[in-house]
Amino acid sequence: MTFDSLPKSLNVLLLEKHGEDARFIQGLLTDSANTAPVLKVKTALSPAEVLRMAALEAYHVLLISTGSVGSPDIPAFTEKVLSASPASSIVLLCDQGDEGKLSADKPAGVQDYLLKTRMDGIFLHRVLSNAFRIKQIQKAQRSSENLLNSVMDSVAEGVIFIDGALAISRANASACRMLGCNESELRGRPYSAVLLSGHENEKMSVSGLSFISKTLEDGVSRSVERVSFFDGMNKPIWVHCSARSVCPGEKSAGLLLAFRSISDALQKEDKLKDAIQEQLRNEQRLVEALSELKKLNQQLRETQDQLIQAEKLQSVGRLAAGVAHEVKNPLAILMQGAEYLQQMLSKRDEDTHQVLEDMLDAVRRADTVIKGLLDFSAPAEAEMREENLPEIIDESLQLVRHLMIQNKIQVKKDFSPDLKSVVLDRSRMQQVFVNLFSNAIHAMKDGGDLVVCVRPDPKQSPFRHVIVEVSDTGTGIPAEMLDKVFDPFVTTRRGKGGTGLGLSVVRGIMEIHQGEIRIANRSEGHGTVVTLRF
Amino acid sequence: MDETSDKKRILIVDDEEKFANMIKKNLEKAGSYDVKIETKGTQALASVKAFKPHLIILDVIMPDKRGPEIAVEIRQDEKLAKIPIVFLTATAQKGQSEMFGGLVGGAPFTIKPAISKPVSTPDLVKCIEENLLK
Repeated sequence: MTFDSLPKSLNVLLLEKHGEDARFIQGLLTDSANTAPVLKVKTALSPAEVLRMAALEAYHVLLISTGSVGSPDIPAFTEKVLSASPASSIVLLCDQGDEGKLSADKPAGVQDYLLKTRMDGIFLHRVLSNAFRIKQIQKAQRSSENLLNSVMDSVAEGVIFIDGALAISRANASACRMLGCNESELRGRPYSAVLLSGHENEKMSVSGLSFISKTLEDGVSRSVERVSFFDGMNKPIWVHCSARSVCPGEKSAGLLLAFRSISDALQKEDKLKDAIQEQLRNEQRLVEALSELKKLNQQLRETQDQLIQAEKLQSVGRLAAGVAHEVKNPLAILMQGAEYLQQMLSKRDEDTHQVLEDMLDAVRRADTVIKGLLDFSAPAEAEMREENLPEIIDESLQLVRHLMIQNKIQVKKDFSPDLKSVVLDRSRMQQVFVNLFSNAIHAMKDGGDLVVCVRPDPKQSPFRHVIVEVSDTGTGIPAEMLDKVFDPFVTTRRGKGGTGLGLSVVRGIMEIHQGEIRIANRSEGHGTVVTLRF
Repeated sequence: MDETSDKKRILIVDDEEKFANMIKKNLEKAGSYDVKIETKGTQALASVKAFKPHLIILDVIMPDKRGPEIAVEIRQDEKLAKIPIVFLTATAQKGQSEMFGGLVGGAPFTIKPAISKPVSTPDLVKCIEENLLK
């Protein structure tokens, strides 16, 4: 809205009871009839008439002669007039002597005043036009003010105006709520006092609010992410605050603080941080659990493999009887056949005889192996009988003969001549020896000596007769495994067919026989010694 | 068959024909034996009745009928009950000197001795001589 544009004409109502003066004034106005806007003047003779006429018609300007009202009544009259005609501008026309009062204390709603004795037509015209303008401006100003108030109070952020004197000039409803004060309590107080009240650590807060003084100084807008204000109860509130100069670029023009509470956001942030921490911890736990699981899985797999191996061994045992039968028949035929040929042919020459003898020998050897195999896979119940240990050992050696040859193992037997027979379960004892020999052979991949020694126990007692020592020149058992070596599933040949069951079975069998088994690494040289006591 | 011949009659019941033939050859060379072979377990009883052997060598595991079963049948027949039976087995363990035969009239009997394959002819002859029906 521009205030330079006036309507083409202005309606003016003159209150002047003295006719002469009225005519004089009207005359003045005709002088300026050519100047826009055109002034259309009507005259009223009394205040009451003014009120009546103003009710009937809209007047842009009311020219009131103070003499016609009576000085002390002027404020009351202007009030009345304005309530009847709120849009009208009022210009007071004074006699000499009144102007002193008026210049000091212009009543509300009066835009201007004139001295009757000091005016000409042009001047009067201008004053009246301006009075109209001023009224418009005042109206516009009021609208702006209202708008500003509405905006201020509808905004969720706290808004504070700080004037050039560093005092709070305005504060909106949100600001008052956040700071716990009325606007009237805030107005006029220095901002630093309000926003810092009661802080223990003044120094810290001062620097925290320095952005405000900087903006006040240089007029450059700033904002801070986090700063703490203190409310009327001296509780800190954390806010995001921006300071903006009222007149950007101009120094010390006053500024506008807009702030919003971030307490919620901070709380959420903290909660989020905690949650993330928790998450990380959980992740960590999951990772550890996963690694545990992997390890366990690995162990399970290995155990599974071992069980499968053990199962296979059992199956082999079950097959043994059938295999034995299938093999023995051909062996029987071979034996009978060789004997027959001996009868017929051995008289011919030495060689023939020898060949046939060797063949028979081979058959007998095969038979021993089969017998050994059958004995080895005997049924569950222990049949304890008096047995000849050396015989059992020999049979067991036969069973592992091929392994020994494969690995270039030398066998040395040292059997004492005068050995008593021992009460044993034959097949189980074979199992023991086959196991021990097999372990020894596996420890001597590149050849070595397997020594089996059987002798009477020097400490003869009803329970101790015989000592058997099986020793090898192999790799020995690692020290840390020595005391676990009889536990199930402990093996040095993991992944190479070792089930880890052998020695635990052996120990079990020795227990059935009320015997004793010890394992140690050899004191001289390398290798292992297994000592059995019966 | 000629009952008055001084050769002792041996009946071998075994499903392995080649083996049985070998035994027969060797036995007949080794001593004065008249050896007959029966390869079918189901016909063993009939063969015994027909041949009237002085000793029966009986294989234990045969596809159609098990040795012990045949032994029981033989023992149940009064006329045949006295004929000595020797089990011949591929599955005996060393030191096993007798094997369970079966139940006759509710009473268990064992056959002894048992010979296990492979067996050398001299051992076989020894065993036969020890057990022959006099």
